[in-house]
Amino acid sequence: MERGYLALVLHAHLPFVRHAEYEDCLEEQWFYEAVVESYIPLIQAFEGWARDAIPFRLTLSLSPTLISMLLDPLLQSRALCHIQRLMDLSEQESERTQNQPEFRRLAEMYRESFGAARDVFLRYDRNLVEAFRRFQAIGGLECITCPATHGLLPVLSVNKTAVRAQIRVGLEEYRRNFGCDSPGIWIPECGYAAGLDELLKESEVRYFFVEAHGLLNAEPRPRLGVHAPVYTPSGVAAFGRDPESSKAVWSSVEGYPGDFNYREFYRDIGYDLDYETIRPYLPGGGIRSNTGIKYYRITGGTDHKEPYVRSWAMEKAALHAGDFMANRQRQIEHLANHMDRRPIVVAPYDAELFGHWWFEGPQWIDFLVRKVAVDQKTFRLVTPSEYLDMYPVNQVCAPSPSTWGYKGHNEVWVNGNNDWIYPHLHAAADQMEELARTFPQARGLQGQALNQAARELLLLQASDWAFMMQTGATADYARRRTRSHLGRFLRLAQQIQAGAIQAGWLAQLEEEDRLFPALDYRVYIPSPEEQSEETDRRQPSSQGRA
Amino acid sequence: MRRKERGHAGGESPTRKVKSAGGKPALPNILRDVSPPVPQSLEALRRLSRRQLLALARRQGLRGRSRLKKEELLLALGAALGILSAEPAVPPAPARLDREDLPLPDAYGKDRLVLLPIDPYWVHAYWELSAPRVSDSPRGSGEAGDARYILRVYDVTFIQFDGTNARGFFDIEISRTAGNWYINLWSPGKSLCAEVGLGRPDGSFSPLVRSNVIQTPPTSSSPRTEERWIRVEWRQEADVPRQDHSAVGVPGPRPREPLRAEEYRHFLEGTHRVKILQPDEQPPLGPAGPPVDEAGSHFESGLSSPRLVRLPKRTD
Repeated sequence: MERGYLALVLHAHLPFVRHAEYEDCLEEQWFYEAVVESYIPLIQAFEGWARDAIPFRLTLSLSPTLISMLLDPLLQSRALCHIQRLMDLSEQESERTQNQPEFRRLAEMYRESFGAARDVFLRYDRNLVEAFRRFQAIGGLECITCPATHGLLPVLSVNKTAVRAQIRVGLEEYRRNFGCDSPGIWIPECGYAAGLDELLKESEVRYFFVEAHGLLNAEPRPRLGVHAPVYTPSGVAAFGRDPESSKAVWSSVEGYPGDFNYREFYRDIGYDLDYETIRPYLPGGGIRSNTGIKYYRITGGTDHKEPYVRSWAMEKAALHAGDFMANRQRQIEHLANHMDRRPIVVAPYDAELFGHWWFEGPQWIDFLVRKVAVDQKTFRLVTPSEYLDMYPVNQVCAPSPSTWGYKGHNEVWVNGNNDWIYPHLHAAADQMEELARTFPQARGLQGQALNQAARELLLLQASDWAFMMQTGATADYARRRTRSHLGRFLRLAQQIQAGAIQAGWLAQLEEEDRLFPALDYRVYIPSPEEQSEETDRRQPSSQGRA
Repeated sequence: MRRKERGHAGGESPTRKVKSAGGKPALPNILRDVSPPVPQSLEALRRLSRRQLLALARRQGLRGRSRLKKEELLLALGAALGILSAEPAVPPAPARLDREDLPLPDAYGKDRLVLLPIDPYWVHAYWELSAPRVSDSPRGSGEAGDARYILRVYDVTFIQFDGTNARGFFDIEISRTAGNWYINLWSPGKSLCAEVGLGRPDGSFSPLVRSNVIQTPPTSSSPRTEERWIRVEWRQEADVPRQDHSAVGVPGPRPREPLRAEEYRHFLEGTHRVKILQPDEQPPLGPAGPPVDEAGSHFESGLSSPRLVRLPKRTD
């Protein structure tokens, strides 16, 4: 009998970057890259396990914005074109490198892998959500949702209804696409603040994840640390991220992905090749950017790079999978000796780390799952709900405010580069609540406008914009998106209030910001008790007011 | 796709790229001769139907033409035929301008003070004070010019704050137009509330607006070690009506044994039939639960959601 459990959790998310209005948009490339480099390779690993009857349990959170894009017919066909273009490029590369065997081999490898990616994409009729749904149906995958547009809930929580809407719309989208309730929820950036659990409870969420110190510093101190879930005071289960297993994979220095035999991310032929050769394959009319074809290994800490050798990298991936497993075995054995139950080690990662950033990541996870299934008996993989079924009794603790961002708190999302957005975010959320209360029974055009206003507000609240403003390269795009959704929201609000909705313009917005088709703006109407509470709270302070 | 800076040249505007006809071999003359003449102005192009434009685009060898709307086709063709110069000289269609250019308000005309926790030692505060309130406030205190704007931060840990009962406070002198402030703290794990108001030389303080209450995170584990354990049984039954307007209450498929080879083939074909447990046949909880019984109701794994569950009637 196993002595403990490992819960691998992959969090797949991209902001909504559909730009139908442009033939060829740089930001849309993020989506295609993630599809080709991460989601499809992961699906290939799942398929392999299913084919070889390897028992697997994996938790995959899919953000509603990502699902909207995966289901969008335009993006689906564009993704197919993207794969086709990569196949052409790798073909051209095979020819170009015919006298350089070490590169030729790699060009061939890319050609085959893009071909295989295309096969997967077509096997599920371009619909990768369908693939995930099927793996969920056979019990290997536990898909969970995340708040509608990945808003950082602690900073949105100035408006309770805004947080509630983020959560409910996320859950509702999941229900619509998976036909059942989401077993749990991924709170964006693991961002937790006191009181959030009540809103999760109210929407009948069973579990969520917090960063390690969110549990370790919980009140009172949890006896089992991060190796068992706790129940928040409202009864929602909170799982804590295990720092040890996180670091092994996340850290680009000490972690596996930094191994010198792995592929170097920053040497892409999109930058390396001579411009005229590569130009037809670059997005945005020839802007140098990543194509996904990279020929070098990390090699060492300097700029000198040697060609990538696939077999060496695969050896390393297998070694690292073995190392990870052995460390979990030791960790779990140790923990089990000190606990009155079987411990759970929760290891969450961004799904895009696998394949996109860490090229060998999908193979690593493939090796890991296979080894765990056949090479040892110390632990087995579980999903959080399986663990809760086994252990429905847990300690009650209030997790402390925390995120999994830099320094463990909100600094990445609230700083001098992006703090200007919050007055707008909060004011817009207030206005939305106001609108929903004023027009609780809107139908027809007015109802459509209110729903679209809610979509614009949700898009405005994505944590990605604040993050990107902080990191430089994509800051400009993030600022533009923020201004655009805010501007659209405010203008819609104005038109709704004035009763003068421009149908043509609204139709254009519905076409461009096209997600959450089932959204109902009434999710922003607070409950009657809350409305009266709020008027109490907003009484002016008793002193000093003349 | 975050956490590391992306390597490519993001941040450029999403540039529209119109593919030109370059590289595609010209059609045989015989075909070209029977086709209508190629329009030489954008107006002439605009008079054609989308179908005619498509035919023209095919002759020009435009890739991805069938996905384009008429307006986009026009632009693409215009560029390919040399009527329009190629991007980026083509200005974006006017209707799209608002994507970037809707004016944003500087202020929302409401008094507001908001605290956002950053980490155990930093809090961000922003405020908006509409001008009239401010000029009213120093009334009765003699010279309005004497009053200074003060951001007063209260420690309200374990307190229902009513304006007077804080454990303590500290003041930061601010200017009304600064709009925001980063507050440095010396002690973590507090509940804080703040007010912006006018402080006068006599020491009196007239608050103008009060903030939300926030909690700053602790920096170490709690000294409290008392334990309370509870059991939470998760609902397993389907079709529980909900109070809100969304109504499905169906648990997800349960874990099961790995697929057998022939099942996997069906799986890939999308015809694999997967069992969903009914409420009365849940396996007992616990790691040693018996394997799932093969009998029972089925759904096809390839189907989309509505057919998978019976949707209860809306309750609203």
